[in-house]
This record gives sequence, C-alpha cells and structure tokens, in this order.
Amino acid sequence: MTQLETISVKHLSKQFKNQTALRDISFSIKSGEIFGFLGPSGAGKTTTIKILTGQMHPSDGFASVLGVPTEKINEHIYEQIGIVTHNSGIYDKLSVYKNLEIFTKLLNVKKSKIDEILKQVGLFKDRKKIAGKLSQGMRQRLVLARAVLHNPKVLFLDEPTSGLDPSTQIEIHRLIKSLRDNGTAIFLTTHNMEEADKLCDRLALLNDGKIVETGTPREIRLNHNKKKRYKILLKDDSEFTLSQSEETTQKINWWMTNNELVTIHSCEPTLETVFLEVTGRELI
Amino acid sequence: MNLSIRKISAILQLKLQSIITNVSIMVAPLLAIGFVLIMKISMPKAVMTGAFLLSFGVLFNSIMGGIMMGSYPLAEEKEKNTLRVLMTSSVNGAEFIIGSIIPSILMIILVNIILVPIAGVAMSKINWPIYLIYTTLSGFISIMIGYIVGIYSKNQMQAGNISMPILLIFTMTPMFQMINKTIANIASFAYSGTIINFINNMLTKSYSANFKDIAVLTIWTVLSILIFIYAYTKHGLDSE
Repeated sequence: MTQLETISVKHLSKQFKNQTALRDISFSIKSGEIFGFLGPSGAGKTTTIKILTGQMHPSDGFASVLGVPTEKINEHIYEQIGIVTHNSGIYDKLSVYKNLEIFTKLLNVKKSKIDEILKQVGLFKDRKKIAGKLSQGMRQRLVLARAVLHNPKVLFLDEPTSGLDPSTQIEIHRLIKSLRDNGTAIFLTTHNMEEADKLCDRLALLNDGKIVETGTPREIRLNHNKKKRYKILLKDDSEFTLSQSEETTQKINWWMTNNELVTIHSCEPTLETVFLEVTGRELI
Repeated sequence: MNLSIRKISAILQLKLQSIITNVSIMVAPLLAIGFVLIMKISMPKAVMTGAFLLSFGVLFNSIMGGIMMGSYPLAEEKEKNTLRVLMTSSVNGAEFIIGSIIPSILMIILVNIILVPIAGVAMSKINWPIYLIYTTLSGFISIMIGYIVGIYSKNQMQAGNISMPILLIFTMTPMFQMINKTIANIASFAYSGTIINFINNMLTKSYSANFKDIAVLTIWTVLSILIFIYAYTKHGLDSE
C-alpha cells in the first residue's frame, strides 16, 4: 500500500496568556502508521490534538489534516476523522446501541456496522445497557467504537487506555493495530511508554511543548544505548550484566562453545529511561 | 454553510429523546398543565377565569418552558462534552440549532393546545390561527433567549442561575400589570405581555391582530435572532 501523508505539522507553536504550550514542533504522519506523541502531563499533547482537529488555532506555524489546513477543517474533513479524548462525552441516558445509532445517521454509515464494531470492542453483549451505567473501561470502549464507526482515514487518540484494566488495554491495542493495518493514520498521545513501545511505528518525545527526540521506538532505544550492556544467565544459575568489550566477546564465545549459556539479552534502555535521560524528568 | 437534512433529522431525534428524558426541561410544560389543573379544581371559578388560567399556562409553557428548553440542553451538552463530539463529527452549528429547535417548538405548540381544554376554555372561543402564531412565536423567542443563555453557560447549574432572573422578568411583569399602570405599560412592550393581553382580550372582549402586537412580537423575534447570531459568532456554541 502506498503511504500518503495525512497529517503535516510545520513549526507549530501555541502560546497561551502566561504559558507556551507548544514550541516550534514539526512532524508528519502517513496513512497506515501509528505515530506516538509521548510526554508527561502538561507537555502539550492535548493542545496538539486540539489544534490538529480544528478545535483550537495555533499561534504560529502550520498544520494540515488530509491536505486541509487545520484552521479550515470543515464537516467534510470531520466525516473522515475520528477523535477519542479522555473526556469525550457519551449520551448517558441512551443505550450503548442508540449512542452509536445516532452517529451512523450523522456519518452516513450502515446500521449493520454497529454490531460489527460492538463485537470488536467487546460491548456486543452490553448493547442494550444504558450508557450511564457503564464502567469507565466500557465507556472508553464505547467512545472508541463511535470514533471508528465510519472507518476514518485519520484517528486521534488522546490517552485512549488511561485508567483501563490490562485486558481492556489489550483489546483496544488489537483494534488500533487492525485499523492501522487497514490504512488509518493514527495519532496517539500517551504517557505510557510501554504502550508506545508496543503500538507505535514512530514516536516523538515531547517535553515542555518541544519535541526532544523522534524516530521508531527501536531507533530511539538504540540511539541511547551508549553503555551497550548484556544480561547473561548461565547453566549454574549465575546471572550478571557485562559491558561490551573484547573480553566480554571472548567470554560469551567460551560459554556458547561449552554450552554454558542459557540466555543473553541486550540491555538497551527503555523509552522511559531515554525520556529521563533526554529531559531530566520522569513521565508522570 | 451547508445544511444536511440527514444530520438535522438525526439531531432532531436525539433532542426529542433528551427533552423527554430530562426532568429539568420537562418541568415547565408539566408544571404549566399541572398548575392550571390544580388552580381550576381548587380555586373559586369567579377568580380562576378561563382567560386567567390559559394566560398563566401559556406563560409558564411558552416563556419558562421555552427558555429552559433552549438553555438547559445546550448547557448539558457542554457539561457532558457531547456537543464537542457532535461538532467534530461533521455536524455544523446551524444543523445543531435547527435539529434542536424543532422538537422544542413542537412540544410548546402541543402543550399550548392541550392547555385550552384544561383551562376550561371552549375550543370555539379560540382564534386558532392567531393563538398558534403568537404563542409559537413567543416560544421561539424564549428558545432563542435560552440558546443565548446556553452559549454563555458552562453547565446546567450556571444556565439555571443565568436564566432565573430572565424568567422572572418575563413571567412576572405581565402578571403584575394589573396592580400598576407603569408595569402594565412596560409589559405591553414585552413579548410575554403581548401574549397575555392577546389571550385576555380574545376571551373577554374580542381580538383582532393590531400593529402594536405584531410589531412587538416581530421586534422581539428579530432582536433575539440577532443577539443569538452575535453570541454564536463571537463565542461559538462550545468555544475553547
């Protein structure tokens, strides 16, 4: 599949009265790609989503979605994008099914799609439940179901699994990956490094409104793997970590030749360690 | 701005459901019917004339109900973050307003018709074309005022706080016009006052549409639309 650029951000800045939320950020996202925007609370992730979805105007720079400048996003573009934010509302007094039915009408989607998507997010059995009585995890799944009902070309996910239990997280990750595989460009913000590592094709680390590192999760981890250490487990149950050197290479060779080696792992840093190293602060 | 019938109809269905299930919105039309019934049953007939009961009911329904039907649902949508979801799901402001206003207007018309027999007024005594046009217009003006309140409110509580003095002014002024000539003069220029005078004259004397009443209702209609457009252009329905 040819990958088309669906989101383009150039030198984007956002200044509030007393605070700079975004400082000269640039990136682009192609179709069929999950782009992770990582940073602690207050780093500017939600502001970026609001600008990209036309809910807020930038102070400086340029951003476009599906070729349209974000300041000119109209109904036609909204029909092709899906948005999930941590405070996306649902109609509490309506059933799960009715909540989606409204949007099938608004987005001109066949009603048969409702059951299909409810099965995908694991809410099919609860389709008659009143939305106000759903648990936090179920609400989040309903919001996600609504956002992907029309097979959007671009999907914005603002902390989609925040506060969810691990099994729900896995279900949501599976759905996100299947959307990516079908060509949807996904812009995902999170402060969960493990989630970013598992899901994202490319990442940008954001700190104080500035992109401090960008690349694939692997590239980022390897770029910061300066110590190049290996964790080794031998048959006699001894476990230790060795730094890369001529001597280490010889030792590993010897253990392998003598069938002493049980496991060997490279100790590249986690994304969390990289973030700490780059910004001097932890992800909270 | 494009208008899609499909989207307006979806919003209309959604709003109809939310009006029916929202007690705080339904309270005004239900109270209008309830109060008229209670007053008719419990008070002496000499005091509770059909004209008084119908005026009271229409005032409650069209003025109070209209303002509440405009302000509360809009504030509720903002409070629960559903308005933003609609706006970022390809619905534009005009489609939202048109889809929202139709069920509210229909509800007001329906209750204003029901109020006639409940107030003990013979159907034949009503000048139906003028009654329906005047009461529907007053309901429309109230809904517009409600939307303006809704635009400036972040939640339902705030909508209630802002709309309460407005409600009191428009419902109380015509009621107090009997005791004071100045109030009566002021009330005759308020759209709520025009409605009361029309109902009283229609049921006690005779009424024919006159320039002043038409002018007052037209000016209020235009004014409410203009203020709404100003508020909408300046703040949007759910501005950041």
